[in-house]
Amino acid sequence: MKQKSKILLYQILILFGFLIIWEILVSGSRTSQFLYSSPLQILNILIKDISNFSLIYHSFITFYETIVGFIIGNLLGISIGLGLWYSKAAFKIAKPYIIILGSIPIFAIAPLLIIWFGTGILSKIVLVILSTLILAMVQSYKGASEIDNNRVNMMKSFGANKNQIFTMLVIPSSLSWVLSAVKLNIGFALLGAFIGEFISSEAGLGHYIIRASGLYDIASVFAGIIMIALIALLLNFCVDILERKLTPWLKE
Amino acid sequence: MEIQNLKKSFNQNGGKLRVLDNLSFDVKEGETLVLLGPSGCGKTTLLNILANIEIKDEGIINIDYSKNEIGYMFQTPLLFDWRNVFSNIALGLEIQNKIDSHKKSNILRLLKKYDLEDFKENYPKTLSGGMKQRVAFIRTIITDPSILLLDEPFSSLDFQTKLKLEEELFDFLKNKKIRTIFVTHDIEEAIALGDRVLVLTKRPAKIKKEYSIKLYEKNPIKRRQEPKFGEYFKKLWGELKDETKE
Repeated sequence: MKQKSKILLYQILILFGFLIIWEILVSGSRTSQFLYSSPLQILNILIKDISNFSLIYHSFITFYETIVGFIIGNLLGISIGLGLWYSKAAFKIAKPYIIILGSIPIFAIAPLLIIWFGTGILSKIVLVILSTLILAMVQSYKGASEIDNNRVNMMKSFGANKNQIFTMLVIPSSLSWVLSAVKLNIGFALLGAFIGEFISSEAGLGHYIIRASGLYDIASVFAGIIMIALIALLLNFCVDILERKLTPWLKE
Repeated sequence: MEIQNLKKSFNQNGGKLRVLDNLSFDVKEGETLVLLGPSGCGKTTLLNILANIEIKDEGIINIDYSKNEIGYMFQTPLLFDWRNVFSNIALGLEIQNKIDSHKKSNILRLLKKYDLEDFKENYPKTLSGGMKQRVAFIRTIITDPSILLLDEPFSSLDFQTKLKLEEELFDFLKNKKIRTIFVTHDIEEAIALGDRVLVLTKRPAKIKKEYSIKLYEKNPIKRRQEPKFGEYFKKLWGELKDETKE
């Protein structure tokens, strides 16, 4: 416990040290303040835009797009990935498509999706789904295909059928693979939502940031970035809790 | 239980790799039959076929698989990390849809008997090698098998633990009607536990010779102290050493 609070103390010290140095470096010159903004300016913007709810509104939109797409994308990817365990042939057939889909930058698909699904929330959710689906699918399939054949045989010796092997062995033993994909997908989900908002949108943090940068309002850009970081932290926190709930045998 | 003219080969590099060559033997009620053979001779394939995990090419096996008569114990415990000791033991019962309060109290009774009572809610990673293999043993016998297939179940344990578990197995089997097939490459273990020992050749496995072990003692530890134990060892080693030449 002592060690833990010490680490936290250092982490806070580094953050404040960084902010203080930043504030000092830009305080002398108006040009520097214009180009790099300053921690105090950012704090002012945060207070102003949070109290007039505009930043909360944009954050909520981004959070909503991210979380909905994140959940659908992961669930879909995990189901397909684990499901492919039933048929190696199906995986082999699907493989080139998975590779192609996985290697196309999401930025390239984004304009199409905005044309098809509009500039509203839906196109962003679809983007987030596509950003998270492939990784969840590939990792889940990997986890499912790496199960120990001796354990399969042991279950078969009790007369287990394929469904029992799937639910009692494949799913639980793939969990750590699945969860590591879900964790990585937090970043990809936010990226997907942000790219969608960046290209064309009426709301969301991507919208907020691109509008602010157009006005050279650097402090607002930073305020938006901070909100994105907070959303990422929140999602990480949720996935950590999920992990502890789902894999109690892994903790010390 | 009888096995007649059992044959099995695998496809390998376009050719056929013969693993089992015309094996015939029987196991009587209450008998422990040891199959002693060099490593890689096809013993595990044989047990997998008997357990209905792999399919035979030819031959007759008179086991009714619909009755779940088989209990199969492996070299390693093969416990599930995500299940605690109790539910690891219950796995076979769950698969066979046979779990009820009577069976649950049976599990608790066996946990007590094998000194695992305090660990029933532990995850496998907190157990020692011997404890894990005991859990695997209880998981195997809790479904009341009438045929027990044991594939070198003690080979990954240290010597003392192995002796202890041999004795526990002996205690469990005595006065029961279970037919046991015990596969090993360990000559001492074969003599200590077997009523009969079949020496197998290297691949493809054939039966080279059959020995009835006629020792005064039945207990595997006491058997090791009998003078005749050494004689059997010499004979079996004589048979086996030709098969282990590289």
